[in-house]
Amino acid sequence: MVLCGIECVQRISQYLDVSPGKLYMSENNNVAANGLVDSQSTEGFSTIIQAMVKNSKYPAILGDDSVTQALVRQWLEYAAVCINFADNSAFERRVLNELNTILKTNTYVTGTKKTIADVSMYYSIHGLVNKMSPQEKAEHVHLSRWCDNMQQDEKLRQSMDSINFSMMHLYL
Amino acid sequence: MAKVTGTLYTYPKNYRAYKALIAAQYSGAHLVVPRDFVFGETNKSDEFLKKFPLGKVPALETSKGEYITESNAIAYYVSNSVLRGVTDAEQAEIIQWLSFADAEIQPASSAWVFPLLGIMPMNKQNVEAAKEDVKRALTVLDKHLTSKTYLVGERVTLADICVAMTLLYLYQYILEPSLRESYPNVNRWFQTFMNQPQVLAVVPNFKLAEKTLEFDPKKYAELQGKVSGKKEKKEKEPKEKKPKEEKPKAADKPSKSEDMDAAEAALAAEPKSSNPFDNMPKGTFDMDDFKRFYSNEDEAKSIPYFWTKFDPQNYSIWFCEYKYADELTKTFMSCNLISGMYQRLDKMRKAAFASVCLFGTDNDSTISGIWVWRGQDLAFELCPDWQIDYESYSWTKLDAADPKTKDLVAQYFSWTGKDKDGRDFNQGKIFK
Repeated sequence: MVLCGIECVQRISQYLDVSPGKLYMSENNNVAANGLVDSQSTEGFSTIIQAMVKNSKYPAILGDDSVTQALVRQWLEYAAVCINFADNSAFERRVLNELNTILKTNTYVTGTKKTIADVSMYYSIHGLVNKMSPQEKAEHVHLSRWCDNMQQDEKLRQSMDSINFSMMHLYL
Repeated sequence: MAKVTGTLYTYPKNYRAYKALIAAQYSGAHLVVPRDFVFGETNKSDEFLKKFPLGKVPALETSKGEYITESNAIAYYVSNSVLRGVTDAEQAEIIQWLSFADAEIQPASSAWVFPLLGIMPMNKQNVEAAKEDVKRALTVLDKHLTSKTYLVGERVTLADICVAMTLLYLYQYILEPSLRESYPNVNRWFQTFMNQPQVLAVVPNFKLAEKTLEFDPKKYAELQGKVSGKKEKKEKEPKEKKPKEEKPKAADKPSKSEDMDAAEAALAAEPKSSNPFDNMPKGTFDMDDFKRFYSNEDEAKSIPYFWTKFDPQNYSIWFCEYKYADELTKTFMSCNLISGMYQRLDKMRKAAFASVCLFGTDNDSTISGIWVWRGQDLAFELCPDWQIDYESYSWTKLDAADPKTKDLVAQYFSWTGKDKDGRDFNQGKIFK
């Protein structure tokens, strides 16, 4: 199992109102898509997401200046390389701590505006945050704050659980 | 809910007026700030006092003839339901934060910032007390924003607008990195807010303080000279309200309304930012002389005159086209669009000339024109006051040596010819 796999890409494609093509796991255990770009096969989380955004009606979600665009690519890469394997508990701790640190000074992952990096991250770590105890949520208060803000967008949340953050205040 | 349209009276760069202007950006309310507003004159005129008895700004006059004062009330009035809060609880929380801004932040901020701006005398004890008050308010805010992205709910509301604007001077003049590092959550929220497109439209190019302002006794003496001079003059006028000096003064904290008025007067009395054209070499082209010649002589003479005098080293020629021609309806309305733009660009007149023409008829027309100004770059980027209209046009710099430019200049200066799709010339307006 990986966190940035077929299910995650499907949710992002739904959010962007585009078809992801036919998704499968490649022999390198990477998510891949057939027919997303012309009739070729496209491999890799970051590549697929960028291609989907370009096919969508929301190209601005890739960031509206060159710094943000670079940061978006950086975080998509981070998702593919680190978050992807955070279903392993050692990785999980590291990823959650790293995300909490970046969100301490940034409202959204890349700065002051919501981008596709936030969207991708939300889908990939939803399961991890959802199973945190109130105390763990409080320990990762910046990540929790971000997650709570993200899940207010119903189109983004789709049919996923709305995570309850009210109990974490007991530990703040 | 119908969108509010109206006139917002204020002096420029008033953080209280910003509240309403930002709220209007979110709600789509249409507010016009009169350019000819003079602080201490317009708002003290009989006409103004009839509408707004306190003579304070910002003040809103709506197109329906409603008169609203007090910045929070105006901001509320021009807000949409999202900014006002959806549930009763949210609305109450928003009012709570508005009160917090006015009671906990604003007096302390003023007592700290105004002496440094030279608007108020420096009283060490007051300033030290104010620093403590600011710290306390920011600590409360920081704690609240630990687990929240915005102050109320999960999106921008009036609470964010009003609290951020009340913190504006602190972040602009006082809170250098070492002073703000203890409030990471407030910093994050403030930066995010200031970078929202709706906020950038009202407060562009905002920069956080790099170094705290220091008290400058000279600046204070200068500004006080101006303000008290103004006051004396006013007191001689028979209709003037009781001079504010008669109000009892609070012992330790300066009374709020009094200081605010003196402060506002001083802010408004600050020398207006100089004209950006003043910094550019004047060159050999005498704009006034050409304008006189153009007004008095036939184009057969004035166009050759232009080319003998024009100085391509220091001046440039531009062609503009209105981007949204398919939205143009009645020709008189399109003409108002041009003259409105001219009015808003009043300060450019010194070093710019233009002829902008309307081609075609009602519901089938285009606007385009020729501009000449000092400097080689797009002049509108030099001054935030000039940026209201120019983005509605596409701008092309013309090569003065190119014969095609000569043709275009001749066509537009003499109000002849057709637009690129063959529409006939309808009418023209000259910026001079």
